[in-house]
Amino acid sequence: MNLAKRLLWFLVAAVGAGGLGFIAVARGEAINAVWLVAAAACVYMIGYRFYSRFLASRVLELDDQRATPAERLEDGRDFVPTNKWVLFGHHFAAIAGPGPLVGPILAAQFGYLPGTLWIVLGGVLGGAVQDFVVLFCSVRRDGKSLGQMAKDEISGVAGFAALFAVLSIVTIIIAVVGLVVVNALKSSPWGFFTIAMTVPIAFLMGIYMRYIRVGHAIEASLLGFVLVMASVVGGRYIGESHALAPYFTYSAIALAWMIVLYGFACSVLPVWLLLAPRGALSTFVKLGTIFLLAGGILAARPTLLMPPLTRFIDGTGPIFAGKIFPFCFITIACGALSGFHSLISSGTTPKMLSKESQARMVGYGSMLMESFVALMAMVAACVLKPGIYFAVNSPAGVVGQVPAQAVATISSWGFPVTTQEMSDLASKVGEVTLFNRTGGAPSLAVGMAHIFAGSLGNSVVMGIWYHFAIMFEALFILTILDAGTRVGRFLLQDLLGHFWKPLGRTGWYPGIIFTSAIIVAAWGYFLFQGVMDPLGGINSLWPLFGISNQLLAAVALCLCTTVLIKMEKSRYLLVTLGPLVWLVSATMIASVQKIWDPNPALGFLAHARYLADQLVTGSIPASKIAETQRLIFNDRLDAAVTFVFAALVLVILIESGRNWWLYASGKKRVVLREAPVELSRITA
Amino acid sequence: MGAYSNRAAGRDACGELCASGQAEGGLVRVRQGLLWIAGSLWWWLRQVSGDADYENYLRRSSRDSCAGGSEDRSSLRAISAEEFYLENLRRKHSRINRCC
Repeated sequence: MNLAKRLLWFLVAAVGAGGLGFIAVARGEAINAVWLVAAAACVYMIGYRFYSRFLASRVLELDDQRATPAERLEDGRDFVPTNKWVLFGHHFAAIAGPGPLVGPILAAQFGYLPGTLWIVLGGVLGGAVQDFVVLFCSVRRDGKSLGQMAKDEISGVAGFAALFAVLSIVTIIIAVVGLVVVNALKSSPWGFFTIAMTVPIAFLMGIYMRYIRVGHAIEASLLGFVLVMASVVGGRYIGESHALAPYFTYSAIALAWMIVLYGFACSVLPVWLLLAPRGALSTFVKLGTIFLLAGGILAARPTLLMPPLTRFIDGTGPIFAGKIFPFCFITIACGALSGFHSLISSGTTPKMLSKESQARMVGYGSMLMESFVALMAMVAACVLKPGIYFAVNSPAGVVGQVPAQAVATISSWGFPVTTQEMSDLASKVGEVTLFNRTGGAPSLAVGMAHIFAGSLGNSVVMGIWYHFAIMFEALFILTILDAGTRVGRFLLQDLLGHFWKPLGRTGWYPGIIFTSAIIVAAWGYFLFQGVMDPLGGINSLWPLFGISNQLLAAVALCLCTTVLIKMEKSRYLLVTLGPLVWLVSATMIASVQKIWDPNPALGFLAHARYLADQLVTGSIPASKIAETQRLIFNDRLDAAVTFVFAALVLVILIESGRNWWLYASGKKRVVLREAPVELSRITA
Repeated sequence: MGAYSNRAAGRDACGELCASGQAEGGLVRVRQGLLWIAGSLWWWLRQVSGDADYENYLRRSSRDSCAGGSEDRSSLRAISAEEFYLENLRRKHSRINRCC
């Protein structure tokens, strides 16, 4: 590296360190969001240039002379050598889901500092490392999946844990994201109309791509985008029309039923009709909006109104209970480290990589982009006045049912807000109310609308921007919901096919309907549990999702560590062992607290006991007894599910640790199950 | 590697354009540079969106048949665009292809 480059990197490091230092120590003065963005960008650049390079050359020793599975097994279908920029686009579009948008919004209740630090540092040192190393492992093993690799390299128990974790995550994540959509659309005729219109628009796109211009996704997506934007604009008239609005105004329960039916329809309908066109549209809108948001932040340069740390670091937060450690890290989940990414890194991507060295850009680089998306979500939450942020995100069960009570409670925490401010804001964005809109999506939409209106327009168009943001989030989320339900169905069919062959046939309609119903019923149960929860549902469901996601990350990092030991790279073990230790500590402490903490706001069993005591003392009205009994059952179910997740983490850890000890002591022969080496013929 | 040969051809063409651009002056060079960027972006978008999948498949099929191909590769007869589209969707949506 010449002197000029050295100076340049020194400058990048200085800006990154200075930026992080400034946002960490600044107290009582307004911080511009650009500081956050600049500091993060510098850390990402340093991480990519130096850390990922170290991983690639020293730890993994990527070898471009070695043919990848895409080259050796090229079949023109699954195994296809692909240009690295194209693969980067594919991989990023696949890993970028609603998690990194919702998680940081919720974690902003601790202030902007802890979440920002975890998003940036966790992404560089944890999440990106996991994605990169898993991708490398899969490339060296003919593109095998995480479960297969865990079974081969660790043990059958670890492989089973991976399969179980995948099914559990699919179930929990669909329920959670479904809940986010329900909370965003309840009593919102404008929002509901816009999202409802995406279904016929998807049908139209599907017919276009199937019969009119076969496979032309760009044309169909442009057509879909124009129609969706027309729905966003037209939705205002629906919302303001006294005659039409009632037809598009639904309660949370009604919306939950609609989402359940939608998920079922997606699983049984031909994929070209609904799933594929929605996926195409969602990818375009997703990528476009992410770039738009980044541009908006740089253009508007908004000031962060949220303090760096709030009083809720002590665990008394209204959005979800629990102290900053471990719940800040569990809540942010995919924005910094996501176990689910390891499924993508060991899915399609390794089968398309044409050179081993490209794993660095695709695996490590994509996760940094994802982390950057999470950071923008954090900015969107923190540019809101804290009182407004808490009024939108706090459940009625915590702050009170009526607006006056809610603003009084929130103001008493030191975050002043008035009913007038809230009603003005609601009217600006075309909503009846913004109180108790838990789930993160509405506050993200308000934050995004604030940024967009500040840079591209003014407050007159805030309603359009708000509903554009809601449409973007819901489109994003419903794509996960429909694709997840279908994949869950395939996983279940695969499993049940071992017991009765016809159920395993993916083209047999009774089997399709039966397995789809089971999957939809599983996530539907948790969705309804969240909808009926007086604490808003997010308080119990989001940590469950976070824990299950981190369980999968534990499997992935145990695999990575095992592979490094087998490659005789034990001196570099910290690169995967460090994130694993942190992850397991956070997951286990969160699990123990969610199950056994004596505070009813935090512990599932304590909450069940609290409700049971109320039943015994007769303080529950007769009309609410059945509902209370159901809440008690749900608390106990959530505790049991959390216990199973935590137990699985322990099993994988013990199983891996036992193997590591046997390898280290020479009692077990090291067998690295890599595919045979073949020289590459592709010229870079 | 249809996509590769396509791109390489694009690069060669750009090289020629750039060479002539140097002679014609800075403005032309800028215009050609912008055109090259736009062309690359369009190419990237078509590849990522799946628009170019069938073209890539046909190119690969014809390359394999020209090269004689191995037994398993030559067994891939070129299917119609519609068949290819449906088969592609079926494979893509029968495994985890989206993250949370």
